[in-house]
Amino acid sequence: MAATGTFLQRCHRTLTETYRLTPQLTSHLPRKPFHPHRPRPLTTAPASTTLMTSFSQPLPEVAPRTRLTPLSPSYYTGSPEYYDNLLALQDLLRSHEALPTIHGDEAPEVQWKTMDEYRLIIGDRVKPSRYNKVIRILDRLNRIDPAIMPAETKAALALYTRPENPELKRRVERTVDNFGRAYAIGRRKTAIARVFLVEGEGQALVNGLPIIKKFSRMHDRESVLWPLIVTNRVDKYNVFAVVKGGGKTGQAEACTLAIARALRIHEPALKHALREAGCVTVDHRQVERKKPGHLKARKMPTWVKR
Amino acid sequence: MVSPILWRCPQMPHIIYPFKSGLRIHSFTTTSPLSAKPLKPKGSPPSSKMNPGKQRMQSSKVHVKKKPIMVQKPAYEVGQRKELRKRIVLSNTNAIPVVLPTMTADLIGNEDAAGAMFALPSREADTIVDRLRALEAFQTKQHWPFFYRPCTLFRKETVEVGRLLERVMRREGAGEDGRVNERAILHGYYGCGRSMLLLQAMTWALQKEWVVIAIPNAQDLVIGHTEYELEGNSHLWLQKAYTTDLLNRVLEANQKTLKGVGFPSSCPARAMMKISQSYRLGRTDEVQKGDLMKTVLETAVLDPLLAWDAFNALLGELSLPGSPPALFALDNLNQISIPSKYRDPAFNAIHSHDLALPNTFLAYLSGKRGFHKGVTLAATSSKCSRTLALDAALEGRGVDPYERLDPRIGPSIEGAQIIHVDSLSKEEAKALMDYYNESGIMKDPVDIATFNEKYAVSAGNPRDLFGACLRIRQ
Repeated sequence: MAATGTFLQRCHRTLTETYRLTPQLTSHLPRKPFHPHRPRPLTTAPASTTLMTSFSQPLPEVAPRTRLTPLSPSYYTGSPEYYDNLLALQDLLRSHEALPTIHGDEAPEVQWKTMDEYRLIIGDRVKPSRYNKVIRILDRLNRIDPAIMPAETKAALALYTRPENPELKRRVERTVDNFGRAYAIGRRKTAIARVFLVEGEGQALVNGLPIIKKFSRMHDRESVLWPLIVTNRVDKYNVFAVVKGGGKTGQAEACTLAIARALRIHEPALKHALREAGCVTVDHRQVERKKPGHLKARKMPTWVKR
Repeated sequence: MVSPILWRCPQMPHIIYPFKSGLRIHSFTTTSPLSAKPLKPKGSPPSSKMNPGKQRMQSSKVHVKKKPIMVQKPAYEVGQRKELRKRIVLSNTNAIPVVLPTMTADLIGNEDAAGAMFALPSREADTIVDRLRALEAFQTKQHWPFFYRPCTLFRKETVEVGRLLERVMRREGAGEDGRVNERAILHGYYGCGRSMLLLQAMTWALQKEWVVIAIPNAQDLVIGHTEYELEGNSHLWLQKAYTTDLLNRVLEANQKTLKGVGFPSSCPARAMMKISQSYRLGRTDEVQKGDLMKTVLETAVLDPLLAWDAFNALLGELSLPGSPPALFALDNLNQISIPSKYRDPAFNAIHSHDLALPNTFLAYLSGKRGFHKGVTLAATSSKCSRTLALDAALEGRGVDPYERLDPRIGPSIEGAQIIHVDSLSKEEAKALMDYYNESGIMKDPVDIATFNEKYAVSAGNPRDLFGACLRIRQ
C-alpha cells in the first residue's frame, strides 16, 4: 500500500492541486463510462472492484496484484505529468463549455505563467507547442463570463496566473489631446505611418496631399480608409497621415493600422468591429533577408558535381 | 510541311503528303490489272499468320480522302481589330432607361443646373449625337455601353466651360476689331472628366450651330503613323492624310452650319459661308471668291494634296467678321508637348511644335492666331508620362535655369485660362450614383453608408466612382 501511494504521488504530483484529485470536486461531476479522456485507472484488478474508484481514494486491497500498474492513463505517453494536467484542464473546460462567454477583448487581463514557470509546476520538460495548448485552454476558460464563472474554474485559473506586477502592468492610457486629435502609428512591411485623427467631415490628407494624389490605386485608398469604412465613420473623421518608407501597398496598410488605432482612442468600443475587419492584428511580416551562400533568402545555387 | 513549289504547280491539283506515300503506293500502278500476277490461293503463308493478300485487298479498297488545300484565313481582316477597338457603342437596350432632362443650349453657364444628370439630345430630329460621333467626341473608355442612352453629369466645371461659350456669344471682352477669343486648358487628375467636359462643350457648340473642329486624340499626330512632308515656306511638317480625315470629320459634323441654316439673313454672304477671297489649293487648284466653303471642303476631302490649304482657308474664313463662331478642341494636349516620333532627313526627332497641325492649334491656344468669335479648348491627359515642361507651365512655375525643360512648351500655352477639373462634389457624386442605381448597374441601394463608402474610396474621382459602384460586392 505504501508503495502504491508513492507511485500515485509520483504519477500525479502535478495534479495534487487541481480539482481532479479532490473527491469533493469530482464527485458531483457526472461520469460517462467510456469517454476517452475520463481518468480510468490502469490496473489488473477485476473491474467490479476498482472501476469506479477515484484516484485519491485508497485502492482496495482485495485485488491480488500480479504486476505494478500505473494509475495514470498517461503513463505511457512519455510525459504523464503534462498529459494528466492537460486532460484535467480539458475536462474542466468541457464541463463549462456551455457557459456564456464574453469577447476575448473584454476578458479580464491575466498573465499566465511563463513556460519556465509552467515547467517548474510540471517538473518536466514541456515543449512550447504543448505549453501553448494549455494556454489556449486557459484563455478559453478566462473568457467565461466573470459574473457567472464557477469557483472551481477561478481556483484553477488562479493556479496558472502570475502574480501581478505593477511595473509590468503600467500602461499609458492613450487619449485625445487638447485639439481633439488622436495620434497613433502603424507599421506594415517597411512603411511607418503616423496618423492624426480628428472629428470632421471625411477629408483625408496623406503627406499633405489629397489621398487621390498619393494613392492613385483605388485598392490602396480602400485599404487606407478601411477602418472607417467598416465602422461606417467615413464622414465623421478627418485623417491627417504622414507615412514614410516602403512602397505604396505597405504605406497604405500602415495607414490602415494607424487609423484603426487612432479610431480606438476616440471610440474604444469599436475594437471588436475593427478586429473582425482585420485592423487590429499587426502584420509583422517583412522581407526575409538574403543570406551569404544563397541566391536569394532561401534559394541555393544548383548543385554541381565538380 | 507543305512545300510552296507544289502550290504553284498546275499539274498537281493536290498536295502529296510525304508521310502518306505508303498508302498511295497500293492504289497507284502503271501495270493494268489484267497483267498483274494472279492472287495467291487462300491459306496462311509460312512466314506470317496474317493474311497479306486479304490485307492488301482491304487496303486497296480504302478510300483515302484527299484533303483540299486549305488557305488559312486570317483571324481578322485588315483593319478589323482597329475597328473593334475603336467601336463606340452608345446604347444598351438591356439597361434600364432613365428619364432625364435634355442637355440643351439654354443650360450654357447655368449654375443652378450644376449637380444634375442630363441626357444628350438624341431625338429623331436631332443629329447631335451622330455629329458628336463624327467628331469622335465619344471615347471607348467612357463606359457608354452600360447605359440605355448617353447621359452626362452637369458639373461646376461644366458651368465654367459654358461661361467660355457664353462670353463669346455675348461678345464680352471683344477687342477693337470685334474679335472674341476664349482659350482654356482643362487640367486635373486622372479620370476626372476632362474629355467629358470637351464633349459637353462640343454638344453645346453644335447645338448653337458653331463650327466645331476637333482633334480627338493628339497622340495620333505625333506617333508617326501618318505620312508627313516638309513645307518649304513655313518650315512646318504637314500631315496631309490626317488633315484630310480631320476635314472629313469637320464636314460631316458641321453640315448644317456650312450650309448656312439658322443664320440671320442680315448677312447673306456670310450666312452661306461663302469665301471672301480666292485661295490657292495645292499647286494648280484655286477657289474663287464667292465659292461655298462646303464645296471647297468637299473638294479637299477627295484629294489629300489640297487638304492643308483647304484647312487654312477654313480657319482664315472663320477669322473674318460675320463668320459663325468656332470651337477648336484638342484632347490629350500632353502628347504634343513631347518630342514626336517623326524624323527629319538628318534623322533628328521632329519637335511636335514643328508639325503643322499641332503648331496651328497651339497658335490658337496661345493667342497668336484667333477666330473672329471662337473658343479654343484643350484637355490634358494622364496617360502621357513625363511632360515636365508642360506640368511646370500649367502650374505657372517659372523656368528653373538648372532644369532642362523644353523652352518652347511654356510660351505655347501662355495666356490660356487653366480650368482645374476637380473631384466631384458630394451632390454631383450623389446624382451620378443615383443614375447608376436607376440604370441598374449598381445593385446596392444608395443609402448614406454606401454613398459615403463609395465616395471616400473613389475620392470623388468619376472614373473610380464608376468602378466602385460597378464592382460586385462579395
